[in-house]
Amino acid sequence: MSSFEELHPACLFSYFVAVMILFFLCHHPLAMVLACACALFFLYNIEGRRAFSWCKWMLPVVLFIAVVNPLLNHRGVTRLFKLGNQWITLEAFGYGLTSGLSMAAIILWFACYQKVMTNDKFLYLFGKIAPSSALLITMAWNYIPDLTKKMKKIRDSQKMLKGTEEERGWKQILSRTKDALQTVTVLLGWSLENVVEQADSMKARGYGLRKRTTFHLFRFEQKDIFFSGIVGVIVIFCFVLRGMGCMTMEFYPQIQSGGSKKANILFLVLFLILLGIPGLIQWKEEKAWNSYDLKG
Amino acid sequence: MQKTKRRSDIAAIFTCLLLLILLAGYTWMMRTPSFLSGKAGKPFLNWIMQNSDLALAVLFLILTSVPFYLTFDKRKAQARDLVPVALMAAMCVVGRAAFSIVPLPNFKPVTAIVMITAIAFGAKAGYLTGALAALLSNFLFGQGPWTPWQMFSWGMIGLMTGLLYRIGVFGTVGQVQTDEHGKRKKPVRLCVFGFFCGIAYGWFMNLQYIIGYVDPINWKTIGLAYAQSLYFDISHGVCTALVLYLAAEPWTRKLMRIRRKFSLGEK
Repeated sequence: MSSFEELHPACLFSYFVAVMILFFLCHHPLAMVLACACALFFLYNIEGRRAFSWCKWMLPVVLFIAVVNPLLNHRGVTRLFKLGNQWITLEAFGYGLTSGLSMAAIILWFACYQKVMTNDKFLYLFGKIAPSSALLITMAWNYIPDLTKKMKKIRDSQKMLKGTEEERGWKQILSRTKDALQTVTVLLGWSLENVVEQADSMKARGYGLRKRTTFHLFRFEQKDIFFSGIVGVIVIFCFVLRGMGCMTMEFYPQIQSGGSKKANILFLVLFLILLGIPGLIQWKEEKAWNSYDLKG
Repeated sequence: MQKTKRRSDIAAIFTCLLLLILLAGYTWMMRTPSFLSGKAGKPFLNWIMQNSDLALAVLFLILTSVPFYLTFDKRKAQARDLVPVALMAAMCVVGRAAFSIVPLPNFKPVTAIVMITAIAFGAKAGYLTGALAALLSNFLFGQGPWTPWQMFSWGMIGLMTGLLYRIGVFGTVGQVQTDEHGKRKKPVRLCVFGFFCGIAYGWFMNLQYIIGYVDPINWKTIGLAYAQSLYFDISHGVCTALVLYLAAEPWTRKLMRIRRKFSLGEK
Protein backbone atom coordinates (compact mmCIF):
# COMPACT_ATOMS: atom_id res chain seq x y z
CA MET A 1 0.00 0.00 0.00
CA SER A 2 1.42 3.39 -0.87
CA SER A 3 1.01 6.56 1.14
CA PHE A 4 -2.25 7.52 2.78
CA GLU A 5 -3.05 10.52 0.66
CA GLU A 6 -2.93 8.47 -2.54
CA LEU A 7 -6.08 6.60 -1.60
CA HIS A 8 -9.28 7.43 -3.43
CA PRO A 9 -10.88 10.71 -2.23
CA ALA A 10 -14.15 8.99 -1.44
CA CYS A 11 -12.35 6.61 0.92
CA LEU A 12 -10.49 9.43 2.60
CA PHE A 13 -13.54 11.60 3.01
CA SER A 14 -15.68 8.86 4.49
CA TYR A 15 -12.83 7.84 6.79
CA PHE A 16 -12.63 11.35 8.21
CA VAL A 17 -16.37 11.68 8.54
CA ALA A 18 -16.58 8.36 10.44
CA VAL A 19 -13.71 9.34 12.73
CA MET A 20 -15.25 12.72 13.52
CA ILE A 21 -18.62 11.15 14.34
CA LEU A 22 -16.86 8.75 16.71
CA PHE A 23 -15.18 11.70 18.42
CA PHE A 24 -18.48 13.37 19.05
CA LEU A 25 -19.91 10.13 20.41
CA CYS A 26 -17.09 9.33 22.82
CA HIS A 27 -16.86 12.03 25.43
CA HIS A 28 -14.20 10.17 27.34
CA PRO A 29 -10.75 11.43 28.35
CA LEU A 30 -8.90 8.25 27.43
CA ALA A 31 -10.33 8.11 23.91
CA MET A 32 -9.53 11.79 23.39
CA VAL A 33 -5.92 11.38 24.52
CA LEU A 34 -5.56 8.51 22.05
CA ALA A 35 -7.08 10.64 19.32
CA CYS A 36 -4.67 13.53 19.95
CA ALA A 37 -1.69 11.16 20.03
CA CYS A 38 -2.65 9.48 16.76
CA ALA A 39 -3.17 12.80 15.02
CA LEU A 40 0.23 14.03 16.18
CA PHE A 41 1.82 10.77 15.01
CA PHE A 42 0.32 11.24 11.57
CA LEU A 43 1.31 14.89 11.36
CA TYR A 44 4.82 14.02 12.52
CA ASN A 45 5.18 11.53 9.67
CA ILE A 46 4.09 14.14 7.15
CA GLU A 47 5.85 17.29 8.22
CA GLY A 48 8.41 16.10 10.79
CA ARG A 49 9.26 18.18 13.82
CA ARG A 50 6.96 21.01 12.86
CA ALA A 51 3.99 18.89 13.92
CA PHE A 52 4.86 19.49 17.55
CA SER A 53 4.41 23.23 17.18
CA TRP A 54 0.70 22.36 17.43
CA CYS A 55 1.25 21.32 21.03
CA LYS A 56 2.61 24.74 21.88
CA TRP A 57 -0.76 26.43 21.60
CA MET A 58 -2.98 23.41 22.02
CA LEU A 59 -1.81 22.65 25.57
CA PRO A 60 -2.72 26.08 26.96
CA VAL A 61 -6.18 25.82 25.39
CA VAL A 62 -6.79 22.42 26.98
CA LEU A 63 -5.53 23.61 30.35
CA PHE A 64 -7.57 26.79 30.17
CA ILE A 65 -10.81 24.94 29.57
CA ALA A 66 -9.93 22.37 32.22
CA VAL A 67 -9.26 25.07 34.83
CA VAL A 68 -12.11 27.42 34.03
CA ASN A 69 -14.84 24.77 34.28
CA PRO A 70 -14.32 23.84 37.96
CA LEU A 71 -13.96 27.51 38.89
CA LEU A 72 -17.42 28.30 37.55
CA ASN A 73 -19.21 25.16 38.24
CA HIS A 74 -19.50 23.41 41.57
CA ARG A 75 -21.55 20.34 40.84
CA GLY A 76 -20.22 16.93 41.79
CA VAL A 77 -19.69 15.13 45.08
CA THR A 78 -15.92 14.64 45.30
CA ARG A 79 -14.60 17.83 46.85
CA LEU A 80 -10.95 18.56 46.34
CA PHE A 81 -10.32 21.86 48.14
CA LYS A 82 -11.97 25.13 48.97
CA LEU A 83 -11.26 28.25 46.97
CA GLY A 84 -12.80 31.37 48.44
CA ASN A 85 -16.11 30.05 49.71
CA GLN A 86 -16.72 27.54 46.93
CA TRP A 87 -15.65 23.93 46.66
CA ILE A 88 -13.62 22.80 43.67
CA THR A 89 -14.88 19.38 42.62
CA LEU A 90 -13.12 16.56 40.83
CA GLU A 91 -16.11 16.01 38.56
CA ALA A 92 -16.12 19.53 37.19
CA PHE A 93 -12.39 19.35 36.59
CA GLY A 94 -12.79 16.02 34.79
CA TYR A 95 -15.51 17.41 32.58
CA GLY A 96 -13.43 20.48 31.72
CA LEU A 97 -10.41 18.35 30.91
CA THR A 98 -12.43 16.07 28.65
CA SER A 99 -13.97 19.04 26.84
CA GLY A 100 -10.56 20.60 26.29
CA LEU A 101 -9.11 17.35 25.03
CA SER A 102 -11.98 16.75 22.65
CA MET A 103 -11.61 20.28 21.27
CA ALA A 104 -7.89 19.67 20.74
CA ALA A 105 -8.55 16.30 19.12
CA ILE A 106 -11.05 17.79 16.69
CA ILE A 107 -8.75 20.65 15.73
CA LEU A 108 -5.82 18.28 15.21
CA TRP A 109 -7.87 15.90 13.09
CA PHE A 110 -9.09 18.77 10.99
CA ALA A 111 -5.44 19.68 10.45
CA CYS A 112 -4.84 16.12 9.25
CA TYR A 113 -7.88 16.40 7.01
CA GLN A 114 -6.49 19.52 5.41
CA LYS A 115 -3.14 17.88 4.76
CA VAL A 116 -4.80 14.98 2.97
CA MET A 117 -8.03 16.22 1.40
CA THR A 118 -6.85 19.05 -0.78
CA ASN A 119 -9.25 21.41 -2.47
CA ASP A 120 -9.22 19.60 -5.81
CA LYS A 121 -10.13 16.29 -4.18
CA PHE A 122 -13.07 17.90 -2.42
CA LEU A 123 -14.30 19.36 -5.68
CA TYR A 124 -13.76 16.06 -7.48
CA LEU A 125 -16.10 14.41 -5.00
CA PHE A 126 -18.83 17.01 -4.98
CA GLY A 127 -18.53 18.41 -8.49
CA LYS A 128 -20.82 15.72 -9.80
CA ILE A 129 -23.47 15.89 -7.12
CA ALA A 130 -23.69 19.67 -7.03
CA PRO A 131 -22.19 21.09 -10.23
CA SER A 132 -23.17 24.73 -9.79
CA SER A 133 -21.94 24.91 -6.23
CA ALA A 134 -18.69 23.29 -7.29
CA LEU A 135 -18.33 25.82 -10.11
CA LEU A 136 -19.04 28.65 -7.70
CA ILE A 137 -16.41 27.47 -5.25
CA THR A 138 -13.83 26.89 -7.98
CA MET A 139 -14.39 30.31 -9.50
CA ALA A 140 -14.16 32.10 -6.18
CA TRP A 141 -11.13 30.05 -5.23
CA ASN A 142 -9.56 31.06 -8.52
CA TYR A 143 -10.16 34.77 -7.88
CA ILE A 144 -8.39 34.84 -4.54
CA PRO A 145 -4.74 34.68 -5.73
CA ASP A 146 -5.60 36.96 -8.62
CA LEU A 147 -7.17 39.57 -6.35
CA THR A 148 -4.30 39.29 -3.89
CA LYS A 149 -1.83 40.08 -6.64
CA LYS A 150 -3.84 43.06 -7.78
CA MET A 151 -4.21 44.26 -4.22
CA LYS A 152 -0.48 44.27 -3.74
CA LYS A 153 -0.04 46.41 -6.84
CA ILE A 154 -2.69 48.87 -5.66
CA ARG A 155 -1.20 49.09 -2.22
CA ASP A 156 2.28 49.70 -3.56
CA SER A 157 1.16 52.53 -5.76
CA GLN A 158 -0.87 54.08 -2.95
CA LYS A 159 2.14 53.97 -0.69
CA MET A 160 4.15 55.70 -3.40
CA LEU A 161 1.60 58.51 -3.63
CA LYS A 162 0.97 59.06 0.05
CA GLY A 163 4.30 58.39 1.71
CA THR A 164 4.58 57.13 5.26
CA GLU A 165 2.10 58.16 7.93
CA GLU A 166 2.99 59.68 11.24
CA GLU A 167 -0.26 59.41 13.15
CA ARG A 168 -0.93 57.58 16.38
CA GLY A 169 -3.89 56.16 18.28
CA TRP A 170 -7.41 56.60 16.98
CA LYS A 171 -6.30 58.76 14.09
CA GLN A 172 -4.01 56.01 12.90
CA ILE A 173 -6.82 53.48 13.04
CA LEU A 174 -9.14 55.76 11.10
CA SER A 175 -6.60 56.62 8.43
CA ARG A 176 -5.58 53.00 8.00
CA THR A 177 -9.21 51.98 7.68
CA LYS A 178 -9.62 54.58 4.97
CA ASP A 179 -6.53 53.26 3.17
CA ALA A 180 -7.81 49.71 3.32
CA LEU A 181 -11.21 50.84 2.07
CA GLN A 182 -9.69 52.65 -0.85
CA THR A 183 -7.67 49.57 -1.76
CA VAL A 184 -10.78 47.42 -1.82
CA THR A 185 -12.71 50.06 -3.77
CA VAL A 186 -10.08 50.18 -6.49
CA LEU A 187 -9.92 46.41 -6.52
CA LEU A 188 -13.66 46.18 -7.00
CA GLY A 189 -13.66 48.54 -9.96
CA TRP A 190 -10.71 46.81 -11.54
CA SER A 191 -11.99 43.27 -11.38
CA LEU A 192 -15.77 43.53 -11.84
CA GLU A 193 -15.86 43.90 -15.58
CA ASN A 194 -13.12 41.37 -16.29
CA VAL A 195 -15.02 38.82 -14.36
CA VAL A 196 -18.25 39.19 -16.28
CA GLU A 197 -16.34 38.95 -19.54
CA GLN A 198 -14.71 35.79 -18.33
CA ALA A 199 -18.11 34.27 -17.66
CA ASP A 200 -19.34 35.23 -21.10
CA SER A 201 -16.32 33.70 -22.77
CA MET A 202 -16.86 30.52 -20.80
CA LYS A 203 -20.34 30.35 -22.19
CA ALA A 204 -19.12 31.05 -25.72
CA ARG A 205 -16.75 28.11 -25.49
CA GLY A 206 -19.54 25.77 -24.55
CA TYR A 207 -19.32 25.59 -20.80
CA GLY A 208 -22.11 23.53 -19.32
CA LEU A 209 -23.09 21.76 -22.53
CA ARG A 210 -21.59 18.47 -21.46
CA LYS A 211 -20.64 16.84 -18.22
CA ARG A 212 -17.59 18.29 -16.57
CA THR A 213 -14.32 16.46 -16.37
CA THR A 214 -11.74 17.01 -13.66
CA PHE A 215 -8.03 17.56 -13.87
CA HIS A 216 -7.14 14.59 -11.72
CA LEU A 217 -8.04 11.02 -12.47
CA PHE A 218 -8.75 9.04 -9.37
CA ARG A 219 -9.31 5.35 -9.87
CA PHE A 220 -10.87 3.08 -7.32
CA GLU A 221 -8.22 0.41 -6.96
CA GLN A 222 -7.75 -2.73 -4.96
CA LYS A 223 -6.00 -0.95 -2.12
CA ASP A 224 -9.03 1.32 -1.76
CA ILE A 225 -11.33 -1.68 -1.44
CA PHE A 226 -8.95 -3.18 1.11
CA PHE A 227 -8.76 0.04 3.10
CA SER A 228 -12.47 0.77 3.14
CA GLY A 229 -13.23 -2.85 4.06
CA ILE A 230 -11.00 -2.75 7.14
CA VAL A 231 -12.14 0.69 8.20
CA GLY A 232 -15.79 -0.17 7.65
CA VAL A 233 -15.62 -3.28 9.84
CA ILE A 234 -13.82 -1.46 12.64
CA VAL A 235 -16.21 1.47 12.54
CA ILE A 236 -19.25 -0.79 12.70
CA PHE A 237 -17.77 -2.64 15.67
CA CYS A 238 -17.05 0.65 17.40
CA PHE A 239 -20.59 1.86 16.87
CA VAL A 240 -22.05 -1.38 18.17
CA LEU A 241 -19.85 -1.30 21.26
CA ARG A 242 -20.73 2.33 21.84
CA GLY A 243 -24.42 1.48 21.54
CA MET A 244 -23.90 -1.18 24.22
CA GLY A 245 -22.66 1.53 26.53
CA CYS A 246 -18.90 1.40 26.20
CA MET A 247 -16.88 4.56 26.64
CA THR A 248 -19.78 6.53 28.02
CA MET A 249 -18.99 8.67 31.00
CA GLU A 250 -21.43 10.40 33.28
CA PHE A 251 -19.73 13.26 35.06
CA TYR A 252 -22.39 14.63 37.36
CA PRO A 253 -23.00 13.99 40.19
CA GLN A 254 -20.20 11.43 40.24
CA ILE A 255 -17.86 10.15 37.55
CA GLN A 256 -19.14 6.82 36.28
CA SER A 257 -18.09 5.04 33.15
CA GLY A 258 -20.44 2.63 31.48
CA GLY A 259 -19.85 -0.77 29.92
CA SER A 260 -17.91 -3.73 31.20
CA LYS A 261 -14.14 -3.58 31.51
CA LYS A 262 -13.42 -6.12 28.77
CA ALA A 263 -15.68 -4.38 26.30
CA ASN A 264 -14.06 -1.06 27.08
CA ILE A 265 -10.59 -2.43 26.44
CA LEU A 266 -11.76 -4.01 23.18
CA PHE A 267 -13.22 -0.68 22.15
CA LEU A 268 -10.01 1.20 22.93
CA VAL A 269 -7.91 -1.29 20.96
CA LEU A 270 -10.20 -0.99 17.94
CA PHE A 271 -10.23 2.78 18.30
CA LEU A 272 -6.45 2.87 18.40
CA ILE A 273 -6.17 0.70 15.28
CA LEU A 274 -8.69 2.84 13.43
CA LEU A 275 -6.98 6.12 14.27
CA GLY A 276 -3.50 4.70 13.86
CA ILE A 277 -4.02 3.54 10.28
CA PRO A 278 -3.09 6.80 8.50
CA GLY A 279 -0.02 7.34 10.63
CA LEU A 280 1.14 3.75 10.16
CA ILE A 281 0.70 3.83 6.39
CA GLN A 282 2.62 7.08 6.20
CA TRP A 283 5.35 5.76 8.49
CA LYS A 284 5.79 2.57 6.45
CA GLU A 285 5.99 4.61 3.26
CA GLU A 286 8.60 6.89 4.76
CA LYS A 287 10.71 3.90 5.81
CA ALA A 288 10.45 2.26 2.41
CA TRP A 289 11.47 5.51 0.74
CA ASN A 290 14.47 5.97 2.99
CA SER A 291 15.60 2.39 2.50
CA TYR A 292 16.22 3.14 -1.18
CA ASP A 293 18.63 5.89 -0.24
CA LEU A 294 21.96 5.13 -1.91
CA LYS A 295 24.07 6.99 0.60
CA GLY A 296 22.80 4.88 3.49
CA MET B 1 -40.48 27.36 -14.73
CA GLN B 2 -41.40 30.54 -12.92
CA LYS B 3 -43.52 28.60 -10.48
CA THR B 4 -40.85 26.05 -9.51
CA LYS B 5 -38.42 28.91 -9.06
CA ARG B 6 -40.74 30.61 -6.62
CA ARG B 7 -41.33 27.37 -4.78
CA SER B 8 -37.67 26.57 -4.23
CA ASP B 9 -37.10 30.12 -3.03
CA ILE B 10 -39.79 29.69 -0.44
CA ALA B 11 -38.32 26.33 0.53
CA ALA B 12 -34.90 27.94 0.97
CA ILE B 13 -36.22 30.65 3.26
CA PHE B 14 -38.29 28.09 5.13
CA THR B 15 -35.23 25.95 5.88
CA CYS B 16 -33.45 29.02 7.19
CA LEU B 17 -36.28 29.62 9.63
CA LEU B 18 -36.32 25.95 10.55
CA LEU B 19 -32.69 26.20 11.61
CA LEU B 20 -33.58 28.90 14.12
CA ILE B 21 -36.43 26.81 15.52
CA LEU B 22 -34.08 23.84 15.87
CA LEU B 23 -31.64 25.93 17.85
CA ALA B 24 -34.36 27.19 20.14
CA GLY B 25 -35.64 23.65 20.66
CA TYR B 26 -32.19 22.49 21.53
CA THR B 27 -31.67 25.13 24.20
CA TRP B 28 -35.07 24.28 25.64
CA MET B 29 -34.12 20.62 25.82
CA MET B 30 -30.89 21.41 27.59
CA ARG B 31 -32.72 23.44 30.24
CA THR B 32 -35.19 20.71 31.06
CA PRO B 33 -33.09 17.64 31.90
CA SER B 34 -36.16 15.92 33.35
CA PHE B 35 -36.83 15.00 29.75
CA LEU B 36 -34.34 12.19 30.27
CA SER B 37 -35.99 9.21 31.86
CA GLY B 38 -34.25 7.31 34.64
CA LYS B 39 -31.33 4.97 33.99
CA ALA B 40 -33.44 1.81 34.14
CA GLY B 41 -36.23 2.60 31.72
CA LYS B 42 -36.04 2.84 27.95
CA PRO B 43 -32.29 2.60 27.27
CA PHE B 44 -32.68 3.28 23.58
CA LEU B 45 -34.60 6.52 24.08
CA ASN B 46 -32.04 7.53 26.67
CA TRP B 47 -29.27 6.86 24.23
CA ILE B 48 -30.88 9.04 21.60
CA MET B 49 -31.43 11.84 24.09
CA GLN B 50 -27.86 11.72 25.30
CA ASN B 51 -26.48 11.95 21.82
CA SER B 52 -28.94 14.55 20.60
CA ASP B 53 -26.24 17.20 20.26
CA LEU B 54 -24.43 15.07 17.70
CA ALA B 55 -27.60 14.42 15.74
CA LEU B 56 -28.35 18.11 15.80
CA ALA B 57 -24.89 19.02 14.52
CA VAL B 58 -25.26 16.68 11.55
CA LEU B 59 -28.76 17.94 10.84
CA PHE B 60 -27.52 21.51 11.05
CA LEU B 61 -24.76 20.79 8.57
CA ILE B 62 -27.18 19.24 6.10
CA LEU B 63 -29.82 21.92 6.48
CA THR B 64 -27.33 24.74 6.01
CA SER B 65 -26.43 23.45 2.60
CA VAL B 66 -30.03 22.94 1.52
CA PRO B 67 -30.82 26.57 0.62
CA PHE B 68 -27.48 26.70 -1.16
CA TYR B 69 -28.40 23.65 -3.19
CA LEU B 70 -31.96 24.66 -3.93
CA THR B 71 -31.20 28.12 -5.20
CA PHE B 72 -28.49 27.04 -7.57
CA ASP B 73 -28.05 23.42 -8.45
CA LYS B 74 -31.71 22.72 -8.98
CA ARG B 75 -31.94 25.55 -11.43
CA LYS B 76 -28.91 25.04 -13.72
CA ALA B 77 -27.61 28.54 -13.16
CA GLN B 78 -25.56 30.24 -15.84
CA ALA B 79 -21.93 31.07 -15.21
CA ARG B 80 -22.57 34.80 -15.50
CA ASP B 81 -25.21 34.69 -12.78
CA LEU B 82 -22.75 33.05 -10.44
CA VAL B 83 -19.98 35.50 -11.19
CA PRO B 84 -20.90 38.41 -8.90
CA VAL B 85 -21.42 36.06 -5.98
CA ALA B 86 -18.10 34.32 -6.54
CA LEU B 87 -16.25 37.60 -6.92
CA MET B 88 -17.76 39.20 -3.84
CA ALA B 89 -17.02 36.10 -1.75
CA ALA B 90 -13.41 36.20 -2.91
CA MET B 91 -13.42 39.92 -2.15
CA CYS B 92 -14.44 39.14 1.44
CA VAL B 93 -11.45 36.86 1.83
CA VAL B 94 -9.01 39.31 0.26
CA GLY B 95 -10.61 42.19 2.13
CA ARG B 96 -9.70 40.49 5.36
CA ALA B 97 -6.08 40.64 4.28
CA ALA B 98 -6.43 44.29 3.23
CA PHE B 99 -7.81 45.22 6.64
CA SER B 100 -5.10 43.40 8.52
CA ILE B 101 -3.10 46.67 8.51
CA VAL B 102 -5.55 48.13 11.04
CA PRO B 103 -4.24 47.33 14.52
CA LEU B 104 -7.51 46.12 16.06
CA PRO B 105 -8.52 42.51 16.66
CA ASN B 106 -11.40 41.01 14.69
CA PHE B 107 -11.43 44.05 12.41
CA LYS B 108 -12.78 42.43 9.26
CA PRO B 109 -15.00 43.85 6.54
CA VAL B 110 -16.68 40.56 5.64
CA THR B 111 -20.05 41.42 7.19
CA ALA B 112 -20.09 44.81 5.47
CA ILE B 113 -19.23 43.36 2.08
CA VAL B 114 -21.91 40.69 2.43
CA MET B 115 -24.47 43.36 3.32
CA ILE B 116 -23.53 45.55 0.37
CA THR B 117 -23.78 42.58 -2.00
CA ALA B 118 -27.22 41.79 -0.59
CA ILE B 119 -28.35 45.34 -1.28
CA ALA B 120 -27.03 45.43 -4.82
CA PHE B 121 -27.86 41.91 -5.99
CA GLY B 122 -30.76 40.84 -3.79
CA ALA B 123 -31.32 38.72 -0.71
CA LYS B 124 -30.49 35.34 -2.21
CA ALA B 125 -27.19 36.52 -3.62
CA GLY B 126 -26.47 37.93 -0.18
CA TYR B 127 -27.11 34.59 1.46
CA LEU B 128 -24.88 32.80 -1.00
CA THR B 129 -22.07 35.33 -0.71
CA GLY B 130 -22.09 35.07 3.06
CA ALA B 131 -22.09 31.29 3.12
CA LEU B 132 -19.46 31.02 0.41
CA ALA B 133 -17.20 33.61 2.03
CA ALA B 134 -17.23 31.64 5.28
CA LEU B 135 -16.45 28.39 3.50
CA LEU B 136 -13.64 29.92 1.44
CA SER B 137 -11.93 31.84 4.19
CA ASN B 138 -11.94 28.68 6.26
CA PHE B 139 -10.06 26.88 3.51
CA LEU B 140 -7.33 29.41 4.29
CA PHE B 141 -7.72 29.89 8.05
CA GLY B 142 -8.74 26.33 8.91
CA GLN B 143 -11.98 24.40 8.72
CA GLY B 144 -13.62 23.18 11.87
CA PRO B 145 -16.92 22.53 13.56
CA TRP B 146 -17.51 26.30 13.39
CA THR B 147 -17.72 26.33 9.58
CA PRO B 148 -21.47 25.57 9.24
CA TRP B 149 -22.21 28.11 11.96
CA GLN B 150 -20.26 30.81 10.20
CA MET B 151 -21.84 29.90 6.89
CA PHE B 152 -25.27 30.14 8.43
CA SER B 153 -24.75 33.38 10.33
CA TRP B 154 -23.12 35.30 7.48
CA GLY B 155 -25.67 33.88 5.09
CA MET B 156 -28.52 35.00 7.31
CA ILE B 157 -27.03 38.49 7.62
CA GLY B 158 -27.03 38.70 3.83
CA LEU B 159 -30.57 37.40 3.54
CA MET B 160 -31.95 39.74 6.20
CA THR B 161 -30.25 42.78 4.74
CA GLY B 162 -31.57 41.99 1.30
CA LEU B 163 -35.12 41.49 2.54
CA LEU B 164 -35.10 44.60 4.72
CA TYR B 165 -33.74 46.67 1.85
CA ARG B 166 -36.47 45.34 -0.41
CA ILE B 167 -39.09 46.50 2.10
CA GLY B 168 -37.41 49.89 2.15
CA VAL B 169 -36.05 50.06 5.69
CA PHE B 170 -32.74 51.51 4.62
CA GLY B 171 -34.10 54.02 2.14
CA THR B 172 -32.33 54.32 -1.17
CA VAL B 173 -28.73 53.25 -1.00
CA GLY B 174 -26.74 53.72 -4.16
CA GLN B 175 -29.21 56.02 -5.90
CA VAL B 176 -28.78 59.20 -3.86
CA GLN B 177 -28.16 62.41 -5.79
CA THR B 178 -25.36 64.76 -4.78
CA ASP B 179 -26.24 67.93 -2.87
CA GLU B 180 -24.90 71.39 -3.72
CA HIS B 181 -21.49 70.63 -2.13
CA GLY B 182 -21.04 67.54 -4.29
CA LYS B 183 -21.52 65.16 -1.37
CA ARG B 184 -23.94 62.30 -0.95
CA LYS B 185 -26.05 61.52 2.08
CA LYS B 186 -24.65 58.70 4.19
CA PRO B 187 -26.87 55.66 4.88
CA VAL B 188 -27.03 56.04 8.67
CA ARG B 189 -29.80 53.49 9.25
CA LEU B 190 -27.79 50.88 7.38
CA CYS B 191 -24.75 51.62 9.55
CA VAL B 192 -26.72 51.14 12.76
CA PHE B 193 -28.07 47.86 11.44
CA GLY B 194 -24.54 46.87 10.44
CA PHE B 195 -23.23 47.56 13.92
CA PHE B 196 -25.85 45.27 15.43
CA CYS B 197 -25.21 42.63 12.77
CA GLY B 198 -21.53 42.58 13.68
CA ILE B 199 -22.34 42.04 17.34
CA ALA B 200 -25.10 39.53 16.63
CA TYR B 201 -22.69 37.54 14.53
CA GLY B 202 -20.30 37.22 17.46
CA TRP B 203 -23.11 36.31 19.80
CA PHE B 204 -24.38 33.66 17.47
CA MET B 205 -20.92 32.17 17.12
CA ASN B 206 -20.67 32.01 20.91
CA LEU B 207 -23.59 29.60 20.87
CA GLN B 208 -21.44 27.13 19.00
CA TYR B 209 -18.87 27.22 21.78
CA ILE B 210 -21.47 27.04 24.54
CA ILE B 211 -23.42 24.13 23.09
CA GLY B 212 -20.28 22.21 22.28
CA TYR B 213 -17.99 22.75 25.24
CA VAL B 214 -19.83 24.18 28.24
CA ASP B 215 -21.72 22.07 30.74
CA PRO B 216 -23.83 22.73 32.73
CA ILE B 217 -25.35 25.60 30.81
CA ASN B 218 -26.53 28.26 33.24
CA TRP B 219 -26.57 32.06 33.30
CA LYS B 220 -23.17 32.30 34.92
CA THR B 221 -21.29 30.22 32.37
CA ILE B 222 -23.15 31.83 29.48
CA GLY B 223 -22.38 35.26 30.90
CA LEU B 224 -18.70 34.45 31.14
CA ALA B 225 -18.53 33.22 27.56
CA TYR B 226 -20.20 36.42 26.35
CA ALA B 227 -18.04 38.64 28.53
CA GLN B 228 -14.93 37.02 27.06
CA SER B 229 -15.95 37.85 23.54
CA LEU B 230 -17.47 41.29 24.14
CA TYR B 231 -14.39 43.26 23.12
CA PHE B 232 -14.02 41.32 19.88
CA ASP B 233 -17.71 41.63 19.07
CA ILE B 234 -17.76 45.39 19.55
CA SER B 235 -14.64 45.73 17.44
CA HIS B 236 -16.33 43.74 14.70
CA GLY B 237 -19.49 45.83 14.95
CA VAL B 238 -17.57 49.11 14.80
CA CYS B 239 -15.64 47.90 11.79
CA THR B 240 -18.82 46.92 9.97
CA ALA B 241 -20.50 50.25 10.72
CA LEU B 242 -17.41 52.23 9.71
CA VAL B 243 -17.00 50.41 6.42
CA LEU B 244 -20.69 50.81 5.64
CA TYR B 245 -20.60 54.52 6.51
CA LEU B 246 -17.68 55.19 4.21
CA ALA B 247 -18.18 52.70 1.43
CA ALA B 248 -21.79 51.53 1.22
CA GLU B 249 -22.75 54.28 -1.18
CA PRO B 250 -19.85 54.06 -3.71
CA TRP B 251 -19.67 50.27 -3.73
CA THR B 252 -23.39 49.87 -4.20
CA ARG B 253 -23.24 52.31 -7.12
CA LYS B 254 -20.44 50.32 -8.72
CA LEU B 255 -22.21 47.02 -8.31
CA MET B 256 -25.50 48.38 -9.58
CA ARG B 257 -23.85 49.85 -12.64
CA ILE B 258 -22.31 46.50 -13.51
CA ARG B 259 -25.61 44.82 -12.90
CA ARG B 260 -27.42 47.18 -15.27
CA LYS B 261 -24.70 47.03 -17.87
CA PHE B 262 -24.57 43.24 -18.18
CA SER B 263 -28.14 42.65 -16.94
CA LEU B 264 -27.08 40.26 -14.21
CA GLY B 265 -28.91 38.75 -11.30
CA GLU B 266 -32.59 38.61 -10.51
CA LYS B 267 -34.79 41.12 -12.22
